Amino acid sequence: MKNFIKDLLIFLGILFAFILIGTLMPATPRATTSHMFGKLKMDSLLRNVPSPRLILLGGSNLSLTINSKLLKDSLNLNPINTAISWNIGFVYMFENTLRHVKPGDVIVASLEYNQFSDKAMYGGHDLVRTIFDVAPSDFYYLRPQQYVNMIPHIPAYAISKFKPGEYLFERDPLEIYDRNAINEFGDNSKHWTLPGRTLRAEPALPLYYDRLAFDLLKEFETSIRAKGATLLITFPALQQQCFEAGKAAIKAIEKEIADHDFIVMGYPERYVMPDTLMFDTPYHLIKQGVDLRTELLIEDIRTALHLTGPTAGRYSDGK
Amino acid sequence: MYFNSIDFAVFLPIVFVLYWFVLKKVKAQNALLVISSYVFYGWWDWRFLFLLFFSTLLDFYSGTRIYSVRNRNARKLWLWISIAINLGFLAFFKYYNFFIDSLVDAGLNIRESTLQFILPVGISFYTFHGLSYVIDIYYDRIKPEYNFVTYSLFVSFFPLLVAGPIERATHLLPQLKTERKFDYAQSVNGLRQILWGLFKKMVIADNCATYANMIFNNSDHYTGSTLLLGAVFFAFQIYGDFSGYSDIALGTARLFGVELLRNFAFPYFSRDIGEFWRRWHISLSSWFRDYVYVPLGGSKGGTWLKIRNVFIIFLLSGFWHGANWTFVIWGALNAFYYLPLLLRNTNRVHLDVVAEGRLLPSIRELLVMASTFGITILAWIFFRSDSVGSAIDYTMRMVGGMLHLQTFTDAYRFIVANVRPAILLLLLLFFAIEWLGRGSAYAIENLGLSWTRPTRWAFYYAIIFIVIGYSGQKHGFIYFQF
Repeated sequence: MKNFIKDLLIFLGILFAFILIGTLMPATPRATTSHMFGKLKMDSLLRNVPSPRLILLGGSNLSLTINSKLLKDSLNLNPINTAISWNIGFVYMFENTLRHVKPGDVIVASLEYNQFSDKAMYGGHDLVRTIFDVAPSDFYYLRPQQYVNMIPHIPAYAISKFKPGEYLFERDPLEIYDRNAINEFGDNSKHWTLPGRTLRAEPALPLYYDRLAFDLLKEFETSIRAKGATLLITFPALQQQCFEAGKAAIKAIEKEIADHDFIVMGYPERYVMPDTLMFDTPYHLIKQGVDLRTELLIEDIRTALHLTGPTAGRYSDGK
Repeated sequence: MYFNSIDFAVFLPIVFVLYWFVLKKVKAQNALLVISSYVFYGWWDWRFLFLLFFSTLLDFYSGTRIYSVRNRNARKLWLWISIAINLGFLAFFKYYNFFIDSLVDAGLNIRESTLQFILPVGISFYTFHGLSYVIDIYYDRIKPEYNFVTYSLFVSFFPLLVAGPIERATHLLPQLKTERKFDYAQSVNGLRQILWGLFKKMVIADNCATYANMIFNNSDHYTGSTLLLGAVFFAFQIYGDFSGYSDIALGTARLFGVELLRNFAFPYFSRDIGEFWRRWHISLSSWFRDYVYVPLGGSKGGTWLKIRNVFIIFLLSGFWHGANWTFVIWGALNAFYYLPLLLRNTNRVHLDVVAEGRLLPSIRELLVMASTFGITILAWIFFRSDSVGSAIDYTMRMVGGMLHLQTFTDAYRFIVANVRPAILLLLLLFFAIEWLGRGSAYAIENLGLSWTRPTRWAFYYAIIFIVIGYSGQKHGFIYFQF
């Protein structure tokens, strides 16, 4: 019995050492070409783009479904699309953005419904990649739950450093999830030439949501207001079938958002997209869908800015 | 709690340490395992625990009553009370929605007045545990267990609770009543089987699930050969998923000094469908054989009786899997496959291991294995599809498309465009290891036992790295829904 425990501990100790070494190794060539490294560009935009600014915050539902050029031309705001992946978690997204918020900024948050499920807002494997590969100094500023959420994903991250493919194949073959796919506004636009395909509603949306997510969202809204900026909440573009499959949870999330007294633009059904406008997941639109979604967002932002708070009417006439 | 979750990775060592280090006596160890099993099961939904407890209590009491009453009619009454309540719960939770849907499909407008229920995880498995116990007592094969904790453990032992193997009281109860001694070799063997099970589930099944879903969910976009490829991916998915689960279950039980029934024996290396069913989900097949087929007369009666009995067990087996006509047709197809063997009395020809003592099979063996695999995946299409209509459509398009030979390049294009080369290599490696280990209880049971420790550990680390680094998108265990 003692021998078994001793051998097991030695075995696990060596395994732990491998994981530690992998974690501390620099990002692989393939990782450095991924869209996660787009964060560097987005941070630069947040630092340097002049006011008046429209900051888009969310996951890939924003990254891959917005044409910021249209936003700029229609609203006379300077758009910055900071979105990369929902799996980074909105807690990190907000805290990263808050460092760069200026008075008068308008922040539009479009959070995937998955982010409201059990602790998902604290991030997952993409948070691990962001922290260890792209922004190591942020490691010290995370919340305890973010560390907890990262732990299960660290072994896979560490082992990826030893995978031959990470060194032999440096780019995503389609280059969609590539740092070079990100345009001057932060939009991911490489997929705009792809045809649409009808996808089945998979993976299904979670049935439950976490009330804590709405309290955290409120906390961020308070911080944003304190900086003299405005937070507008909108809903992600979502494939019709997927919306129908998760309707109960989506409506419950919508109600919670309404109950927490946010400035809300539109409603979930408004952003439901025909099944034919997706290219790989129920949240990712082809160009036709990108333009449709952007037009809807433009209408909603116009209405919201005309009606709300200290910036009411400021941009509504396009000046 | 899933076997491939962080929760379980924390839970298992805690129970293991308490079991071997803190509690030394059998009764205390059993009590710990019962509590642990309820924690394990309640992790999904604590409300399910009431049903599990009630089912346990019912069969425990029925068992003692059946044994203690002398009157034959009274014994039979208690047996049928137990069977009726057990199957009643199963029917209620598992088939209620199915029957309502079928009635609605038939034109009855009853939807507004009905309720929808969540299916308690593993209800089919522990119900069958309990049934086998009371039936065995009725037929005087065993005596009842008078210790409620021991009996509770028989029903709820966490490695087998949610997806089997479906144990027999004659096999498991004696182990639970006797003192277990820690055995180094047995525990290492258990860990090796867990490791191989994780590989099968997380690397083979979860990756194949992604490709199978891609094809099945968008079958309109694909031609014959790609649809065939989708069915092959599903065949690997379900095998990796369920046999991987069983390996983890058997390995985990072994860590506690308990040997569970074997559930899989390399079924895709079968030379006919009879052999396949002796190697696939063995504990369920043998359950139906012993508690349904044999009492119905088995293969002792005339031809029509034999045919009837075969259809009954295959249809029941299909229906056991789920409340959907697709499963029933899957069962019926297998019955049709089995009939020629039964009628020619050749259903028990292949009782050995294929190509035993040889590295490669003969051409004939290869062909019969391939044809058995072929008809199996045809049935899997029904198992995988959401409805009978979509399964028929899938099959027709697959077969029709295959007649045009040029579509074979489409499957190749699908592989090039979607399947990672590393996964293809791992599938080949998996196939090779399974083939080489087909004479063992599980593929790597004897692999590397004679190697030096550093080499052996390097082998384990390689598997762990592959499991962590190349696991597919996480999918739940398929058989948890049954």
